[in-house]
Amino acid sequence: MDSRETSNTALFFLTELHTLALLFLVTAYAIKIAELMQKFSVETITPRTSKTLRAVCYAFALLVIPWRMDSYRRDPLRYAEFAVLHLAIATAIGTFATLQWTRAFCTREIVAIGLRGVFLSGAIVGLVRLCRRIARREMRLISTPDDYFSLLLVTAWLVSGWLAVPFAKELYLIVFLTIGTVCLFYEPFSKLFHYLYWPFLRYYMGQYFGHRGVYPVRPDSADQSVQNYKRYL
Amino acid sequence: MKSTDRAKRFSENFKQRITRQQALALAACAHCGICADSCHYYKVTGDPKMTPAYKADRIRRVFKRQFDWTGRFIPWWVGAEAVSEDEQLEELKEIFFGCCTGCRRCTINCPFGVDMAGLVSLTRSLLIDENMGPTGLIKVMRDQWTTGNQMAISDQDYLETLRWLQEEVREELDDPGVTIPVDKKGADFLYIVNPREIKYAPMSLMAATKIFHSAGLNWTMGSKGWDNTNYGLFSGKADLGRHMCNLAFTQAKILGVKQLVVSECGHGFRSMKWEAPIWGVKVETPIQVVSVLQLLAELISRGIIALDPRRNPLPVTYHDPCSLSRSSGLTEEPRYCLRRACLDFREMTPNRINSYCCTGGGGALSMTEYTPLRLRVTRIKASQIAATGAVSVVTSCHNCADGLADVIKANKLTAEVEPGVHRPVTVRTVCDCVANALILDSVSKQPLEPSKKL
Repeated sequence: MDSRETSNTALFFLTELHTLALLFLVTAYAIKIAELMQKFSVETITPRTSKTLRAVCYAFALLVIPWRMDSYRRDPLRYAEFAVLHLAIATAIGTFATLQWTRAFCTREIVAIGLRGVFLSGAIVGLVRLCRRIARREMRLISTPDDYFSLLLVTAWLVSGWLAVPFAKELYLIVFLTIGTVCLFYEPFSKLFHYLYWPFLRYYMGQYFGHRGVYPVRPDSADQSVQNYKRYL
Repeated sequence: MKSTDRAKRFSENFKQRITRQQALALAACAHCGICADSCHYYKVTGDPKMTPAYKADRIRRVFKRQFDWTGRFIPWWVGAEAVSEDEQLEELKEIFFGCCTGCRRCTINCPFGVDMAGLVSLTRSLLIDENMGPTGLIKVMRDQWTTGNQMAISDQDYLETLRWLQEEVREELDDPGVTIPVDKKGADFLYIVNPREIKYAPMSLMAATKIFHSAGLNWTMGSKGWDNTNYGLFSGKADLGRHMCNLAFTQAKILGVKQLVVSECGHGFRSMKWEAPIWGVKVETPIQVVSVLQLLAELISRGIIALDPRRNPLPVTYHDPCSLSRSSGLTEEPRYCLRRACLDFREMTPNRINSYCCTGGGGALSMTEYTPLRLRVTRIKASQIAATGAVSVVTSCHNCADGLADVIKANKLTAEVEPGVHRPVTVRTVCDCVANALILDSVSKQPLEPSKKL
């Protein structure tokens, strides 16, 4: 079947259900944020300093400067895993949300190769993480059924994306859209929603450590720091 | 009292006290497990129940049962569970008092920044309210409430110790002009100390006295509100935190000083400087809180005191107290001082905000029931110190000094003092190193320019 020819089922997924899923997700976002703001009052924070904004930016920037975090510096492979998986998920969400308009674009060879590569590498990382969660005792102990299911669901979605690109075969396309829809509907009730909290947590973290002069981590030497800081005498 | 009443109250208080930051920390964890390698408890024991994620999950399950959309209806699916029995509270007590020092090493290594220390603080305060705090901790908290200091030192003992220390310093410097002023109105700053400096480690206060005297500073100590430590921080009890801060600020106000200089105490400085506003301490007249480390660094950088590092010839290393480095950003000032006061300063790896906790935990030593595990996990700090080959480990916190003494003793840590001669590694403070390196003749006899006075 040509990519431009779409059956009623695929058309339903493309235009109706996945739009509904996206709307549902946006509504869930709004409710969760409103809940967060209403139910929990913000802890009193220390007074702002001139470095607060820089510190908040630094807290966000740590996402792309992993060598500043001891955990990732010691285990760069874990960071690579994180980057590949989340890039693949972001690509899947982007593709899912825009497919009804970008389908023709996705059939271009270079784009298709790129998408397949991203989905496949993401799926491999998903599997690696799933195996680790099952194999390692400390991971098993902190894992809930939701942790396994979420990871499995996302990995399956990425595999379906890898198979579906360049979205020429309708069966694969429907599978990709179906799993994507399930993901979106399931997200607000699962750990998949963690990315909603990330900006808030990083903001508060940046503020907290920024006020205290911990962030941004001072790259200058002890001598420079002492010469630069406020005089007390 | 029925056990369920206690559990119900715990749950109700949890619901009321949880802040937005804590709620986010509980909701966001994706169970990636990267925090495991940041925790000294997990690294040493290898026990999967020691990972920060597992420990946080013990209170997270309560949160999920109360607030999570799925946790409210299908709790088993997301690991949600209500607290309904005393045994569950006992488990929380074991974990949040005995298996975490709240050092925040996992927080800065978490991709989200889940603040474990915040969760520890919340859970500890809830447990103490249910009369489930460790006995030793409850005792020091009571002592702070009733006597104003954690070691229940009487006013008479405190003042006599100051007089005795004054005599000692006079004798050592051969200078009858040395004084440890008490309640001196119009002084530039009020120096507040850790009670350990009065009761067990007076050398530290003697060192500070020598330095302040040599620099010609106009300082004073207070007859009240002199304890800079704060078990409100360790226990999560904001009311005690506020009380202790208020004692010091009130004394500062009475004496009309503009600065509070906090001696070498990690959680003491953190409480006075950063936690006080969070606890709602309101000071009518602005009083600046300064660490003695910042003061020392400035005295050295402005040439007000001169140092001869040859007086500290043996290799030293520096342990970053968690409350000063990860929670107050004071990482460079002690290094600045030590590089000028010691001939051979060596860095531990990792250091600064990545340093491992000494297991002192800002008060963990008061809970003797957890000592065996605490001593066991000292191994990681011991290996850090041993790798430097330093003869002394210097720190800027009296609680850490005790923690490090345990590290050395538990691991039989020795260093080569001279070829073939080994002796146990010693613990020193930054003040001690600086005072030992002071060139007294060249400084104390020089009149200070007015600009150099506080």
